[in-house]
Amino acid sequence: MESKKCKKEPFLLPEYFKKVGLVVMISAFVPAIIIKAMSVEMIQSQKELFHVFTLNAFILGLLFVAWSKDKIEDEMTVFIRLKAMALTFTSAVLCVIIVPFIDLLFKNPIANITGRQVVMSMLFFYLMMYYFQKRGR
Amino acid sequence: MKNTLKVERAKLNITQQELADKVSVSRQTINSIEAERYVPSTVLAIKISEVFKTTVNEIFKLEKDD
Repeated sequence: MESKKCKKEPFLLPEYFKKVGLVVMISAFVPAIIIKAMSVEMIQSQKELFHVFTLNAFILGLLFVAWSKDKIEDEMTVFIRLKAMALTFTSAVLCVIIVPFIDLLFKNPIANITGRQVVMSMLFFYLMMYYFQKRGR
Repeated sequence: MKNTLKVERAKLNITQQELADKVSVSRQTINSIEAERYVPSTVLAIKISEVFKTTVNEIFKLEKDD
């Protein structure tokens, strides 16, 4: 009955990518914690490179967790994913609009949010919304 | 959209999990349909009606505001 032309399921990674994602996230932060704890001396360029590497690996891990299939992936999970994505996108747009005003009001430079921070918070928010809605079913 | 899924399930004496396994969805999906929190796709509605050997219209009925 399923037509190839009209496939409803979006592209998602296999279920084991959830574990892969968690491993990637942990392995991104463990070296950072060790370096901080041992107070290893690093030059500025090394620090920046390490910071970029850690954040990128963490984002990649989050992406793997967010974009991997559940144990039972059916049409309702696709619907919940869509709702979570819509909520995430809307809240990101609202944040972009509101944050400069907060910055102006409180004279606090929170408007200088980097792209990585936006992507990371969007992925966190998406995961939260997805599991929150799934729990409520 | 109203449905008589719970009644049909009781007639056949099957659990939500058993019905979910028959139509290849999760138990939560069946629970959401029964609680009228989720409207199934045409494909899933037909699969469900086939389990109960009846028509889709017998199980799912439109309401005034649909």
